[in-house]
Amino acid sequence: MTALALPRIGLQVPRSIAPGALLAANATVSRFLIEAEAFDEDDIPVTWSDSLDACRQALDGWLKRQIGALYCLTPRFALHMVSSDGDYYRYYGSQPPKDFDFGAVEASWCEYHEQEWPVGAGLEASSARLPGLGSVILHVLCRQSAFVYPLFTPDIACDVTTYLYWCGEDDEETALDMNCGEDEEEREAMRAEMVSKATLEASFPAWARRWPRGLELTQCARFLRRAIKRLSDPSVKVMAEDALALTRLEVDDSFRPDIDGEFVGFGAVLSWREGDVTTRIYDDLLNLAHQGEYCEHMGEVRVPLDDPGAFAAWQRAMASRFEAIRLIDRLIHHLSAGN
Amino acid sequence: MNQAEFFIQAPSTGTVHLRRAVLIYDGQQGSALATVHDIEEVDGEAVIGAGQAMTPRAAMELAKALLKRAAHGGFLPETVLYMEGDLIVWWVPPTRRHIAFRVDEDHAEAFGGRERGESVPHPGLVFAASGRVWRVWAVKGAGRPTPATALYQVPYFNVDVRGNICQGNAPVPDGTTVEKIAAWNDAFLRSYFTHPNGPGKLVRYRGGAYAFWRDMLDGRFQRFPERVLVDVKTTLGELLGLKEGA
Repeated sequence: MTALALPRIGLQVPRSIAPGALLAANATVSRFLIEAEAFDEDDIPVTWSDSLDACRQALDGWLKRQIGALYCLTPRFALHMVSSDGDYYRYYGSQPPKDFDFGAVEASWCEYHEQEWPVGAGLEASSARLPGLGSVILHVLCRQSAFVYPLFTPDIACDVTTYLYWCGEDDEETALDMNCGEDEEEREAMRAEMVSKATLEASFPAWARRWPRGLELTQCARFLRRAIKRLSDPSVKVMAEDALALTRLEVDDSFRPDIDGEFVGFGAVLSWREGDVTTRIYDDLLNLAHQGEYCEHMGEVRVPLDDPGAFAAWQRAMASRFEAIRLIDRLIHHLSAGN
Repeated sequence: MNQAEFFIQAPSTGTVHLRRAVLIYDGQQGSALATVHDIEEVDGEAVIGAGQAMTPRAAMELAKALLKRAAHGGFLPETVLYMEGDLIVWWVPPTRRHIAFRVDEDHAEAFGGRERGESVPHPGLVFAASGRVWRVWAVKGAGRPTPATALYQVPYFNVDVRGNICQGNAPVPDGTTVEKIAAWNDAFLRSYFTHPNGPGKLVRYRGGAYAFWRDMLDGRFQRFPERVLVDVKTTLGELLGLKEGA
């Protein structure tokens, strides 16, 4: 008996169809990355059918080697195609844009999986070992992460609260005036529902609620060096060492995104206790941001396709940021140990 | 342990791959039947797998995918507050964005230059646009406005005390559909602000509107200082002719 054979599709029927202009653009970007020496030869897969996908795999290998394994953070880097005029290549429907002038690439990065990490107990334990240590570690973390891997910390939560709920004022009274007038019963009901000044004071200690003005990195480093000599608890000592290493990294705002709108590109939410008000404020900020323009990238750089050297320069400049990401990740991990 | 990842959002997204085959059976008197078959790979060759009758819904999905510009329908965004005829009223939550000024020579010195632009915090805004009107007001707070929300004069130049936007020579978007909201926002907020319109008070600020915007552009305020807004003594509901509680 002859087995029924499934109907075959002739070889002359193409298995995939790509517009010629896009194939040419892929080749241009692949050549750009190779000329930039963006990755080692060993990073290129042995076999490949799509040159750009091979480049992606090679860049992914380079990135993984640069940053290494992380405990808490999951950075995601992306390379976008941009026209010479700065327009993004966007494609949603069945027809890709015609005559798109591929003139540059833009690398951007963000956190793929931002999560809540309760750090209050770890910071308080540090301060219990050495008064002021928790405050200094938190400050170093806030300050050095700001341009590398911004964290949603208690001081930012307090600042956001003022304009999310309090009409930009220092407490909720104006918002209550606007919504409830003189009706005391209604005021108290709304106060109980909203994030009030009392909620913040109950959630975070005073030293975590405000950015310590005047506290410079050099002072933090001096404090941490002395602390390391005095600390005997190895778990606290390692945090002080990581914080000290973080102070030594030179990071600036070179690759800060130039986008209008609310910034929500945070790498992690550092709450004080698990499930405290921090995540509620963060979620409300996201909800507000998503109603208008917002920015969820931590950093970005745009490089013309005729300047591969600039891409290589960006990769070199990222070295200290990769080191910072490792240290920020380790500090969050140690501070939230047990969570 | 986690690992960082690198993606290339490549133009290859324009590539289409052979995934399914449709077999069409025509009958007499206009009857028709179509079956959809997955394409499978057997011994490195593409083969047509077993099929299923194509449902009307699947046929419509396929037709939509093939249309270059499918008819658009769907939910309204939360920022849309009111629609009637060609009138659309929407809200822009408070945010930080760029603003640009081009003032006359008389005010240039006090303003810190003839042309200035910075990214500054803005209050919440309510826009109304139709074939006949284009108006804007400010609102306090970050909550979505309701009919009871008090309206304030926007602190910007080129808007009169009734909220009418002086269009000047700037082109405005064609149409007032939900999809055009961003274009309307840009038409206003990305234009050059040149002069206060009309006699009314724009802001409650020592030195007036020019001094206020000079200080804003100088970065004096991290958040928009809502206390400077001038109350226009009406609510959104009253403006739209809605009765209280409606």
